[in-house]
Amino acid sequence: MSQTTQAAVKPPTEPIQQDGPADMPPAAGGDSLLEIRGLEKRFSLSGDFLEQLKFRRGRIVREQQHVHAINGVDLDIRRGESLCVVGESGCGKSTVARTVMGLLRPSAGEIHYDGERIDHLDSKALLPFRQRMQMIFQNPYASLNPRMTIQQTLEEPIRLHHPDWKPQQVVDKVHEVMSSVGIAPDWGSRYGHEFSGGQRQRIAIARALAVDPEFIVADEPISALDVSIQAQVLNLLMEAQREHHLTYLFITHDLAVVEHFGTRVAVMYLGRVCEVAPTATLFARPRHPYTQALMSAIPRLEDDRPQHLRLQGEVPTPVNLPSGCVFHGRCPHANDRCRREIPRLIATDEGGQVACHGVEEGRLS
Amino acid sequence: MSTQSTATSSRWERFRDSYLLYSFKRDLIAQTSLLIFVVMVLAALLAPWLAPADPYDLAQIDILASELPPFWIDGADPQYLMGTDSQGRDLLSTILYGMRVSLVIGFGAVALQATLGVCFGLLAGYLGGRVDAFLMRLADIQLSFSTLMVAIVVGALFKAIFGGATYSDYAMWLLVLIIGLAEWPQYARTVRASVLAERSKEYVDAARVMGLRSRRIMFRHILPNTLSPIFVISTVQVANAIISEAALSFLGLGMPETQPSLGSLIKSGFDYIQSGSWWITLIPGLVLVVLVLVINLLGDWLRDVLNPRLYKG
Repeated sequence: MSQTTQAAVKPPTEPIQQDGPADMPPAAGGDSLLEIRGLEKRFSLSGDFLEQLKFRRGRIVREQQHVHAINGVDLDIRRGESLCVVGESGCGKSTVARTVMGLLRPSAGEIHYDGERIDHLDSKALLPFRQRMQMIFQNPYASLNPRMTIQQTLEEPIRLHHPDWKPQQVVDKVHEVMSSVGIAPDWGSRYGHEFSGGQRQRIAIARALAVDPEFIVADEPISALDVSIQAQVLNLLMEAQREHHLTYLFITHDLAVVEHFGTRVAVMYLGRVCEVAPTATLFARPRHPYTQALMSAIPRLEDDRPQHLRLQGEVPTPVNLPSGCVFHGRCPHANDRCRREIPRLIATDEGGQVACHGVEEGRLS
Repeated sequence: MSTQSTATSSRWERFRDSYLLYSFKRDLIAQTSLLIFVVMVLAALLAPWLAPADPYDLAQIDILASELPPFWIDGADPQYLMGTDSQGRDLLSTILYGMRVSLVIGFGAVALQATLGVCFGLLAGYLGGRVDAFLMRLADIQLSFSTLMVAIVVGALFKAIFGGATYSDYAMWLLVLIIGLAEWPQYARTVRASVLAERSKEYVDAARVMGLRSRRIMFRHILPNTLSPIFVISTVQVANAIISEAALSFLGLGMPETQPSLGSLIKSGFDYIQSGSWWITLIPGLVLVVLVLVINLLGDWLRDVLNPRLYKG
């Protein structure tokens, strides 16, 4: 944390080495609903311009520190699938979700939704997409406005996106989505705090479903709930997927949920995707060394002789990214090339993609 | 609209079951304060019907009846319950009318402060960045001038430019404007702090994801959740505005003597306090003290009730 990126009033040096020309990995399958290309997001730690000016060795220099929340994420989300994004805390999962939804502006990279680039649109141009993509949040205790009744909460998106609907139509639609998530429609005049956590999350799901979206980003939607409620909400999400033909981008850190819920999994580490693969493949045969370590950390009932892969050291700080592969400091197979060159996602023979020089060179199985 | 009626009835039920009412029922000071405040406001509002005389009507003023003492002192005229002032105006009527002026200035100034302060606070807190920096520095600058100083300068300039007659006509609105403009940072700072706390909550993100416009998010989603501190400051600020007005009038920069407020009454009586007519100053002074005291007590009570740390534990 102590080191800083120094530059005497000149733009901060780009810490991400460009790996060759901007040839992006090929879109897997032609039916991508959402394509994320080279997405980067930096957060400044240095405050405003005056706070960035520092006096060093007799000169005034401008210092800027950034947290590199995500640096160069490529992802494709196919129509109708549930893509789970896993990774430990602080690896940039939520930042990806929030950038996709337009809550954050990416520092670099592009997001294409159904063939159209959306990351640079203003809020007005984004409005049609807002109806097609919705989000479910982590904390059901904070995601409902405490001063609005459930009826008002659910009516608002419908009124916004269907200004021509008659009041009765809106009310009918609200009742329909409420019943579809298992909340009695006559509870509409109540406030969020009168419900339990699981019920609130159902209401939050109803709010997302109210505008008939086709794509839902769920940012750890069950991690704030009791274990007994988690399964209910998860099943509700899967049911909604079947009924409305939804596509999910599902952020979680719970690998058991991934196995149950996801059709494909993307594993993230320090703001980069290290491996994307169909769920069964990933669990059966993880390729990336980090994924292997992650998988071996899942506690198993039959696991009487645990052979955890123990990783050495800590996750590096996202303020000063390591050169080359972000995982090289903890990887048992790292060599010189790993320390120098950022690995790109390459397709594996099992339908996945992995970003590892070792796999590419055949050093690792 | 069947849904509407159930919503309003439940709103009444919620109020009936609320902690606000519960705490009010148990707090004697709050009850007494509210009672006194309501009586004073009603008396001020109904002054034209309650007051025995009209202090604005020159025909009713008898200069020969000046400086008569209140009824419990020898030499009083039973026609003038609280005595008369130096110009022969009935003091009770003048106080009732004066309280009206003071309350209008107090509430008017606070309405202006609140509007400006809430808008600026919302903008600064929600938009952040340069807007935030600009508005908050503006607030700092504004706060570094005391209200009285601003009022003295503006009032004196206005008097000098437009003359005393025009000043008398617009004195009340000018005071509302000055006190209103001088104190908006109080609101802006508090609102901004609450907005910063609310903005990071997920319901605001949910509203943004929905595609709502910033203005609607600010006023429909964030503002209702920042109302408690606004209520608390409002009560304190009404009392402050009334005191500011009284202070300005006492300095001769507030309401003219022909349209007395509590402050200008106190001032007009102050010249006679040495000659024994103490009631002209003391009675309006007491009224002012009681008015400001009950508002402040109500504000204190409200602050305690609305402070979640005190009861949510």
